[in-house]
Amino acid sequence: MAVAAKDLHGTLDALVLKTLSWGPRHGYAIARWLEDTSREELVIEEGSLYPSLYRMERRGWIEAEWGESELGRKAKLYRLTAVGKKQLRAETEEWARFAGAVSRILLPA
Amino acid sequence: MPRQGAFGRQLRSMLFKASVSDEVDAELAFHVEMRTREYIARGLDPELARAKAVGRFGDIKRVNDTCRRIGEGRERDMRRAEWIHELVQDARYALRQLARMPGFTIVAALTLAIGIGATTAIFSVVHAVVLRPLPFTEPDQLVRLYSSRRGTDGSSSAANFLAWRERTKSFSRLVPVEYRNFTLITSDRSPEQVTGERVSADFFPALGTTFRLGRGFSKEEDQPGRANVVVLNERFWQSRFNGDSSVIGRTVRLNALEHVIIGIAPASSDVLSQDAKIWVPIAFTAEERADSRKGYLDVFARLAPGVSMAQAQSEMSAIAKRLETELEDNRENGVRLASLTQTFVGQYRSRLLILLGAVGFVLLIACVNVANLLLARGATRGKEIAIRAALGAGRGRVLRQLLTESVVLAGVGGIIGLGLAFWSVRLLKAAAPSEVPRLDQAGLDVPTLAFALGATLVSSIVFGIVPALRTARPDLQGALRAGGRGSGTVTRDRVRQLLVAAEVSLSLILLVGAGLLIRSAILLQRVQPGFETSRIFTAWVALPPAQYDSVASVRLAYERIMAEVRAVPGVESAAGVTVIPMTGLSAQAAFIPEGRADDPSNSISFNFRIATPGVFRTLGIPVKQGRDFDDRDVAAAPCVLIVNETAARKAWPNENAIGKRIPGVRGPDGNRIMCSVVGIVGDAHDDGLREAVRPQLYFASAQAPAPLWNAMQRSMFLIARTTSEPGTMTKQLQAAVARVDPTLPLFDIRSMDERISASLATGKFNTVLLAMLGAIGLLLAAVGIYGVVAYFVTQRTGEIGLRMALGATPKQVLRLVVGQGMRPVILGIAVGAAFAAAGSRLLSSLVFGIGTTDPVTFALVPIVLAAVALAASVIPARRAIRVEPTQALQS
Repeated sequence: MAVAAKDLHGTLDALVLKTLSWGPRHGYAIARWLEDTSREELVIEEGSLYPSLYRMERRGWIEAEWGESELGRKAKLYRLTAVGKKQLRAETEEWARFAGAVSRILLPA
Repeated sequence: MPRQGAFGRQLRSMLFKASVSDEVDAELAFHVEMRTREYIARGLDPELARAKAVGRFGDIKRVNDTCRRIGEGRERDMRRAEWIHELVQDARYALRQLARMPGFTIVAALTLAIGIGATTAIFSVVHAVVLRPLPFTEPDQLVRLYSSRRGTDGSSSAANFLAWRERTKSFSRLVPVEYRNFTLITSDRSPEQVTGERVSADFFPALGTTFRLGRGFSKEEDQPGRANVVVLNERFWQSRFNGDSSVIGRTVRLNALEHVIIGIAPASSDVLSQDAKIWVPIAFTAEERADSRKGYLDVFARLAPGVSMAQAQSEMSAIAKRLETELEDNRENGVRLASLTQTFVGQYRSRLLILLGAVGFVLLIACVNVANLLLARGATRGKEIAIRAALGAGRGRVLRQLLTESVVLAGVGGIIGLGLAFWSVRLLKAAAPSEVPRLDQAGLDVPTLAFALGATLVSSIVFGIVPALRTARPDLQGALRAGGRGSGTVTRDRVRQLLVAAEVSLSLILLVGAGLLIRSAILLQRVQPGFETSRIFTAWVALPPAQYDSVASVRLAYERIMAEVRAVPGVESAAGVTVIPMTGLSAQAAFIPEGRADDPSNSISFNFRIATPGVFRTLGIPVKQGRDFDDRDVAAAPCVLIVNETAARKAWPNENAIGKRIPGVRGPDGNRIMCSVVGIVGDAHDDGLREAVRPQLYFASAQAPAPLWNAMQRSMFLIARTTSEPGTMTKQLQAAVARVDPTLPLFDIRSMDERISASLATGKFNTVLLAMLGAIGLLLAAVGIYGVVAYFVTQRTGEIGLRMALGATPKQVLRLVVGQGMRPVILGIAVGAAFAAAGSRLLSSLVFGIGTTDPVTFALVPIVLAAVALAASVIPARRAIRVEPTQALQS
């Protein structure tokens, strides 16, 4: 069963940042990449994705500019900033600690 | 995807500047479209694919709103950040600019520092003394009440006060205060004289006093026989009892009666007299209650809620009208109300506000000077500004840059000015006459710092706006032309000349004010006091009523004291008199000379005093006719009087006063005792050199009846003419008095010279300050004139060279250049003189011996100003005539 990314509280930001660490992308591409990479296990909801993008832009983690998309159309492309990279590292570590703790409980060796 | 540089991004955002809302719409539409394509690619019908994409997106309107809100927030953040960034950039640029021209910066900053520093220092004093509310509960509700006869305010009698208190509904509390002296004896020290007040139980509640320790007086303690309690002033408690809190409950002797210390009140409670060290209950006796003649009470009150001053005044006037006939000897006795705050800061208010105005002028002159400097500099910066404008900086942006420079410059001046203010306030406090109330609390407190900040910002606009508007004018072509001398030069010169005219006007007004006060001080110095001032020892002594209850005992005590003092080696002559010159004290009584109708309009108000023989010889007051008091004037002999020339003239115009009679105070039988004039003495300026001489009346100490002695609290000033410096005689004279009564302290020991200079101190202080401000204004104006002429010379070097090459003589060139400098000076003097003539009326209470449009001052000041201006323009003009024609033409 697919999981809505918004159910994993606070994780969506980290996932988006991770996506952008491979290079600038527009919103749809971010959603598709996450869906493809998770083999459709994650459903990225537009209602959460775009506010998350705008919030992170305001915080300075990512920056946006209008550029050409693959189809030759104007699209808003997001890029990771230096601050965003730092944030990504912090969130990754946080997730690892969280996942480890949950795994130790749910999947005892 | 190629990365764009910062420049490219900026450029593109300028060209493609969509609103946040458009961007969000486009971005979300793009997303839906891509999703639709995805579904089509998976084989769905386009129509269905679009519907599915939209359906999957959910509430697109809500997402759109959320994103737009966040996006707009981001724009706001950015604008703010950009604004701050630009400000920092501008400030940095301004500092670099100022550092690049250190000469200009130092002159401008120091000029502003003087202006801001002086203004801040004076404001700090004005705030402490005048503007700050009194430290009482609702101080605006506190009112002073005067018994006033024919426009003269005086103290009130107990009978009047009690009748007021009984009848009025305008006041919640009505408080009588009697200022008096006490002899304080504690077990550990020799007796000392302290000033204090008798007050009613309402005194502290009316002020809203919070006691440091203990409590105030109860109603029960405010009754005869129970009033053996005392409250100490906190300051006195600190100095005399070292702030020892165990004094509460301790017993001290006051005027030979035991009193228990029950409380310590804050120093500010001393609202009427300024030097009350102790308070005791007034506890009116039956005799005092009945007395409507003797005015000795200073009355203040707290207005009842909702009652205005005008309402209270009209009620009190009506009450006083009825009391005129109800009480004995109470005709023409009215009541006048005044705000307590006003009486408290009284005379200092107008003086200090005049100083604040004067210092404001200095700041204005400083601003005008700096504006002139900036204009001159703006001319040389035309090119730089034009380049910035060409690079896309709008006029507003350039203006902002220039004003930021002004603010930074004023800020530098303000910081130095605060330093100056700090020292000036300390200097002012040390130099000011000691009786200025609350001056000790002046300092760089929060309101003063806020004022300094305000003065700095306002002056940066005042001196910055005109030069900035001129400099920022987009006169691209003119400025970019080689030489940078555009068409603006002529108008700019006119503006500069107007500024010079303005500062000349301002300094003229300032100097006229200073000049009037200096002239007054000179005239005051020439006033003959009418008595000798050197080598005269004075001290005050009061006989406590408990030990000296009869008139006979009082007379005997003073006789013995005088005999002891005269026997001291080094004393040439000595005498006693109840009031001496320059103490600010006076005792008045109204009498009708014999032979005139018993009508109030015939009564003359005399300054009366009781004197022992030898007073006039000791003080060097000439006996013009008749004789001094002597051994013949004993109690049993007929009552004699001595009057001064003013009294003689006033009471018996065109007649010889010797032998004339006045019915004096009532004797024990209720009839007035007839006294005849045996001597006329010269006029002496007793109330201060400024004040006109009043009619004076002397009673012989051996004859003066009990009511007169009681009115003077059985006190006398001891005066002794000494062979050496009076200060060195203090110990011997104290010992002489102690031989008569060891519990009698001498009080207020000072030489007559000291009293005179103290009486002139306030006026002198004002004069010196205003003269200093005038001098600063003159100096700044001279610098301004010099600057304008010097600038004119540099700008016109070529023209001057040409004229000289064409045969102009140095004299002609000098006249041209100096004329250029003097034209605005003449205009400024004319305008300034007109304003000064209109405004000098404000000084009318401070001038002496001249009018406020004194022709000498109004002639001298413009001459001085013109001479200084001439000197300031000749110096740079002489440079002009040394110009080599060939050299000038080449440049």
